[in-house]
Amino acid sequence: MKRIKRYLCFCMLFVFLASMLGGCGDNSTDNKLTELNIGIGSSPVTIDPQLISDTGSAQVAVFFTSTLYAYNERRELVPELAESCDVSDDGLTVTYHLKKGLRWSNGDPLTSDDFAFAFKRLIDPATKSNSVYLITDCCRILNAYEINTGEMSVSELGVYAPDDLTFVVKLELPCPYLNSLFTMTNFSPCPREFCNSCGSSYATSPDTVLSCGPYILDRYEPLATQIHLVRNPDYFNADQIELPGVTLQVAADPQQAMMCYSSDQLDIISVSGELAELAQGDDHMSEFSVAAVLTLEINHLSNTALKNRNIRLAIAKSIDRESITRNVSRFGYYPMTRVIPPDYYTETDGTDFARDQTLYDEYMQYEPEKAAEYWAKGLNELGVSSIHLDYVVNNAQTKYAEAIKAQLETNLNGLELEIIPLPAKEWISRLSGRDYDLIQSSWVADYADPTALFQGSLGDGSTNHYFDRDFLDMYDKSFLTYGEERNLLLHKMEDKLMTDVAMIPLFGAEYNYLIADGVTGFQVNPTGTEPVITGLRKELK
Amino acid sequence: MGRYLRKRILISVSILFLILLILFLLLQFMPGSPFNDAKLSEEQVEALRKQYGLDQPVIVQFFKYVGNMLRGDFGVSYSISPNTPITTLLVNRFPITLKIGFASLIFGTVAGVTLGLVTAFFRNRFVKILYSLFTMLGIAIPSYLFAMFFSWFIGYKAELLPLLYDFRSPFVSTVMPVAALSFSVTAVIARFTKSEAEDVMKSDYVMLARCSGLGSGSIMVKYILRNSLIPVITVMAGLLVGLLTGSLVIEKMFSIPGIGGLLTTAIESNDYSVVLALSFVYSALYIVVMLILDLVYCVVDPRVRLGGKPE
Repeated sequence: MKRIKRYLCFCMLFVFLASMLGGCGDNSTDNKLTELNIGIGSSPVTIDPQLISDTGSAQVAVFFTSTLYAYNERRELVPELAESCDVSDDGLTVTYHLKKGLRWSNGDPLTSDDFAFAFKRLIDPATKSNSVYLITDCCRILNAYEINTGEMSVSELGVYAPDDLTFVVKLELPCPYLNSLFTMTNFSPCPREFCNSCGSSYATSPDTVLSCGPYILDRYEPLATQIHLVRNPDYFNADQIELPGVTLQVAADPQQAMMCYSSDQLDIISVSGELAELAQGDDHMSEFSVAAVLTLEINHLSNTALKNRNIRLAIAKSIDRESITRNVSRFGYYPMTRVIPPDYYTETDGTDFARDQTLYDEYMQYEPEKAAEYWAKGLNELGVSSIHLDYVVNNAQTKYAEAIKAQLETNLNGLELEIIPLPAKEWISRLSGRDYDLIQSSWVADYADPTALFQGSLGDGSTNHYFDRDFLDMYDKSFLTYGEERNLLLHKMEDKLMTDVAMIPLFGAEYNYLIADGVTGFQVNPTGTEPVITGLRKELK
Repeated sequence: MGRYLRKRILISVSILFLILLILFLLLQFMPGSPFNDAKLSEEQVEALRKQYGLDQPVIVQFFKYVGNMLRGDFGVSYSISPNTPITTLLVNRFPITLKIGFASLIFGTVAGVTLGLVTAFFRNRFVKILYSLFTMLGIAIPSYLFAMFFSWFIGYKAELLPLLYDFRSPFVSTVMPVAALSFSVTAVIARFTKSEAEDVMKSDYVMLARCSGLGSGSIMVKYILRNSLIPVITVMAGLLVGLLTGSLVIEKMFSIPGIGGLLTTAIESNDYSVVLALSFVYSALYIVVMLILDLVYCVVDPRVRLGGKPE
């Protein structure tokens, strides 16, 4: 009897341990061979298109959503769900004609009402979206601001669906970059009835989200570390999608990601820092420029010294960006002496807006002797012999701040910089509240237009207290002009920022990816924030 | 016993309430807000605060929160997974953390007790060196270094196990994390077991048992093992809570969707409701574990009488 008891106890312990460990066997199948495994840095915060406000989430949503316009593998802006669009003479009414036969992944027809509903959902305060600024500030859709502040009801937003294939957007101010802005996943359609039937659980699991993009969500849970998608046969361009499925695997630890890539567990990974340096020269390494600029923001109000242009010029010309990118960051950043990065915005004649990256070297290039001259002149004008400045920096970027402080204090006699390293959330509070003398900041453009990178210097709404009437007039005028005239205006705006030393560009960022043999067609959009996935292929080894 | 239990439960509930209140007040002093985004205007931040009820007085927010919590509603996440009910986040992630934590504890305890007893029983040099080496390494080396070691040799070089947690093969995905976490448990338990077993072996009742002619195996199981386990149980409670809260690095390394990472992400993002819910769950867990521990004492050592009056 005792033996039987012991045996039973042993069996129960075994069953307990087995059940605790999941007990499910490995059922990975051979069809995984042709599926693509992509490593991502973090879990998506949300997959609800109207709630997305971070690039990590957008990079996931792009697989199962689709927008009116999109970027193709050659980074050209082309109609996606739209067939074409008409802009009224005053630029205030934009009419999109949708492609015929569009369908959701459950077979329901996708109509213009789904776009109207999505736009209204984005601005609706009940949705609690952090991305409302896209609709109130980046493009000023009629009544958006009043709806956001509760003065008007959501139904009064300037978006209309006169018939199933026509979607009309009415604006308060023309928006020359509207189609580029509408490539963002926030502006993808939302199925009204389905969304309402899901209630607050909309887009929290594969069962509560419909796809209109190249893939269908197959496995997902909030803050998932592994997301699986399968090809969407109802996607309008399904013939072009060759991959049967994609797995997005969070690989937050860079070394683990590298080992996964080297052992064929991941096909595409993003590399930075030391790992990127190690992978340098590898044929599988691809670099993609990103519209992300690290800047040194100057508070034009907090400190009398910083109102002096010579002082600002001296600071700008005392930073040896080349040496910092070579010795400190070593990989992933390149020196920048202008606001607009290369390969970001293409002018009407097809040329790169920022093809000449040395254009503002006169004001930004490292020249310690000239910097010392400007500094002496500035001190003389101010009637002081030394200046103390608070230099606020995000904890993650302290190493750059240390290098910049050393260079500035060496080159500018009498300058005392106090670095204030802060956690990200406090650093953002200081930036938004303009509570600093100098702050190391980074701007990532939401859409492919130079104005996206001028946002930090726009008078009252700026993060740096830079208030220049000419600049603001030009900004307003940039919404009313098109083509070559507008490009000239945008150049003048950048001229103004650089000659005034309104802010100091430091480094441009580039993303580096390791892409396995047999994988082709990987591209990112001009802002570098979302992958272009329609051309992705993975051949069997 | 019943009276003791009632008293303990009452004290536990009061402590939990106090913890919640202190946490709620402390979170108000944290810099920043859940809506840290330089692109949001002040009006937009204010509108979001209003939508989530964060514009109300703290005390109103607190009692609303407690009221909802008693109905099983922990609220929704503000920033790390906007509008997702926190219960959904917990239900999805807690079982995985529990599985890995319990598995590490059980494997570590079995290995630690065995190692401690063997070292105490067989007093030869080789066993002692092996024991010292194992316990020193287990305590001195953090679990993530073991994880890196396993990842390199077993996951990458030998390609025997997946390097990242895979939902399609959850069993094999948890082997390396469990092994890495078990090392320190093994070392701690082995040290306690050895020192306690050595004391027990010197005791009068063990000598009496030997003199009575009982076999070594019987003495080991009935007398030495049972009496050595009492301090081990105390240590296990702390280790379990530590495993559940402190496996953050391991979770990040193997991309395990557990709750270790959830808490730190929530703190970094000022996601008050998630921080509160997780802190509450952890506190409740710790209190329950300590209560169970007291009850287990009674079973292991009949001399212990909880809450009883002295005779």
